[in-house]
Amino acid sequence: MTFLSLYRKYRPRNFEDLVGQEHVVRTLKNALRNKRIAHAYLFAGPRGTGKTSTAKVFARALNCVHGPTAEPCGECDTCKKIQSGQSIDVIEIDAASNRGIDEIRVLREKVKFYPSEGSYKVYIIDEVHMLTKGAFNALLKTLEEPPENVVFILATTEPHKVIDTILSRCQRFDFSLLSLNDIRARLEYICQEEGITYEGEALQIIARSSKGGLRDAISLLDQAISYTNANLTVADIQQMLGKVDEEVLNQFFNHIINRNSAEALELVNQLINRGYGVSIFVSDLIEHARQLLLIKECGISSPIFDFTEETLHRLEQVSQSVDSSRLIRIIEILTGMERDLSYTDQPRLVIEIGVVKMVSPEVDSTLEGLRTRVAELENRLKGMEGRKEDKVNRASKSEINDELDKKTDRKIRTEQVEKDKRGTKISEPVSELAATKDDTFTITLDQVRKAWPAILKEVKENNISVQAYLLEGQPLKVDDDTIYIHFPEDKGFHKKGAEREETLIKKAISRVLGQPCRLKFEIAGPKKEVVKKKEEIKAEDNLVDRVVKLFDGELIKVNYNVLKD
Amino acid sequence: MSFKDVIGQDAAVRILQDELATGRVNHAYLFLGKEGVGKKTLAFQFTKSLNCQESRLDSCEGCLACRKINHANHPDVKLLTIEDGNTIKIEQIRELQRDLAYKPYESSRKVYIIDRADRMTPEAANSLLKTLEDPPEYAVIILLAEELNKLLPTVISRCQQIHLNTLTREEIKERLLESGIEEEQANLISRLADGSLGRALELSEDAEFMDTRSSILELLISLPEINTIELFNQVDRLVSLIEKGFPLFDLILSWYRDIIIYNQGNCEQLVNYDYLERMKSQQDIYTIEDLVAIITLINNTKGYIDLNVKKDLALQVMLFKIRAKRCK
Repeated sequence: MTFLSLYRKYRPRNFEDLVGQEHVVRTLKNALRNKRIAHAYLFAGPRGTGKTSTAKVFARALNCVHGPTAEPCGECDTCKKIQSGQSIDVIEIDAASNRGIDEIRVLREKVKFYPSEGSYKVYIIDEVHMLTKGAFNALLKTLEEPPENVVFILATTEPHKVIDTILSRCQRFDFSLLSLNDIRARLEYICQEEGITYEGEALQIIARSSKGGLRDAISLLDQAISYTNANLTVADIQQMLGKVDEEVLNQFFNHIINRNSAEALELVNQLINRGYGVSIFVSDLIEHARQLLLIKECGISSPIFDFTEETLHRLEQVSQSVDSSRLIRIIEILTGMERDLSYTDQPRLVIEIGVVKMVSPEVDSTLEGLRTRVAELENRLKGMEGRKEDKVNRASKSEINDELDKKTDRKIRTEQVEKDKRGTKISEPVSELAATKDDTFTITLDQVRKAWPAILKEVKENNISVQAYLLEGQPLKVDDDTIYIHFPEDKGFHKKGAEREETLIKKAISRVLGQPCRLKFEIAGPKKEVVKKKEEIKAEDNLVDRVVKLFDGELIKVNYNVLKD
Repeated sequence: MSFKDVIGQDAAVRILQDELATGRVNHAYLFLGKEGVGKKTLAFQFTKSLNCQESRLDSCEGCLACRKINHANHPDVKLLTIEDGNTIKIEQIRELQRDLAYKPYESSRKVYIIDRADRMTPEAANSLLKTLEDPPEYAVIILLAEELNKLLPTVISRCQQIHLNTLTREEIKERLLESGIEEEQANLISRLADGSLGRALELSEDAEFMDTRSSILELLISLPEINTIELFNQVDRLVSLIEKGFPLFDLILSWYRDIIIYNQGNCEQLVNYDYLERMKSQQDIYTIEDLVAIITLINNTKGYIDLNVKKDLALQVMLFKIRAKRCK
């Protein structure tokens, strides 16, 4: 018999062989035991997690002579036929190649026929996401109400491409990526079956670089067996995977962190010449930078690491010489490179430019890059501040005092002017107080009135709706340190609003006038306005009287409507 | 030709020969490596060794099978490549699947080599999946691609990967010297080829290339001082070069890359090292920031032209922008 790839040779034959996916296996087994077989299933999940394998095992479980059973015998005729793909009741369709509506029509024609050997007719439609829209829709009716004893199993890696109306007609099972331990256990089992000697760590590396796909892992194992002549060692596996040694990665990061671009570029050059793939190198770098960041953030004793003591200490050493924001920036540049690499046909250029970006901060004008540069500046400033701090403090203090003196001087002067002009009694004690004590209230109504627009503006900047309340009011008097603000009678709503925001207004006033104060909001008495109105009316009346007198005329009423006619 | 003649791919050759020796020949391979490092050569060599009637581990070059494969008329060996447009279409894969169903005519194996497998359309790649996983026992499918991340993960996971090295400058130079090229010339070409032997051989046969190259480098050097009318004239010439298939952008990119590398004090890795003296005059004109921006600009322009933007317009804008960098 010709050689069969390991991943085909070790395809699961029964539910026990399936690795991981306990939730799926349990549900399907119970369905078989209780004879509750649905007519349509959808298996979704990433590559190499066992979708097609589960579908095949399930098909066998349904059609086994002892079936439907949770433990297909694998001995009977039907089991064997299904195993070798010869059964006429289990039809595997490659939806990616037969993706048109015509193929689905053919399928619908054939669905009608009764199963010939087993008790169920099973359609396994693999890569179902590649069906065209027309094909999907043509399948809908059949999928919802297929003839008795027909089971559809759809399998796909991209369930989001399957239309909703299909999804809602299927029992959906989501397959998850396999854990490192599951993969490793399976690899160990295969190695033992095949009689291959291995180092545990070597299988660990294979399991890790398969990124959760069992088929990837077994392919790699297959390749490793060829590469190493059936003796798996760590060094050989690393070489085979094109993985750069941990030591080299450390070296590279040291160059980057010390901003030593020439050395870093030389290292890249060497690696490329030795045939290492740029994209593998970059993804290794990302992983390494991630570890550095984690160690920096979580500390060396965190349980998330499964490295040896020695590696951890070495990583810690490197991580101490760089701050987190720079590391994050480096990771961002690296992931950017990874993205660029999938488009470019000059990977070397991408990595070289990336190195230059990581090394020289002036190249980096993104927000993150600028942040890094600011952080570095700040650090440098801190160093300088330490030396000059006392001096600066003293200088600034005396300046502030000067400023204060000037202010009070000016205020006193204005007070004096006011006093002279008006000669009121109220302002006298205030100004006296101001002269004796620096921090008492020295503001007059006039000042408040003058500053009112400025105050409103200040309030507006903080909260525009408060300004709207305040617009209706007017400062009416200043008594001691209290400013009275009056609102017209019909603006009670505005007064309430202003009262609610008293602190904000106070702050604004103190900011404009330079002094804290108290506020009182009042509604102005209604009388005043009414009186005023009457007076106005009177004044108008007087005018008419005078006109009558002047022209020696008579007062008559004019009907507007009559005039119009 | 035998496995010995595949240059610089010892590791890959070793794996394949081991598999031939132990009979562990897989049904699906993925050969990965830069353009021109010898993927196709290796794939055909492997095919010959599989089908050779005389020798088991290598090709004899004498038997009927070997000769037929060399002349590309072996009925059991098929090469799939881009036929029209830029991609491999689903039709071509369906054709492969139809053909695959028939047993081999003459030899024990049917071999399908898919060149530029990263250029398969998503439909084509998906339709290959089932075949790639479970082909008939006599089939071997070899995919050739440049980078892993341009392929579907579902395709990758079904293949055994064989990584091909980028060739070192020395290996290429040696090969060029063998074919009778002068030392100086071989040295330069080996740098320009960037690890690809196919490209190096192409360059060595193209007499015009060197002249065109120096004229373009002269243009780039004089770009900061050049006047606008002259620039427009130059663009016309560049457009005609692109249409002839001249790797204009690679050349321009390599020039600005070199200035950066030179700035970092790394003279050994320069591509255009014969222009070392001129480079010195350039390095003060641009800051590193400018240079990185220029490279992004060139890459973008290249992208635009691939997307069918008018070539002369795109080039003009690019050159003006580069010139403007200097004016700042």
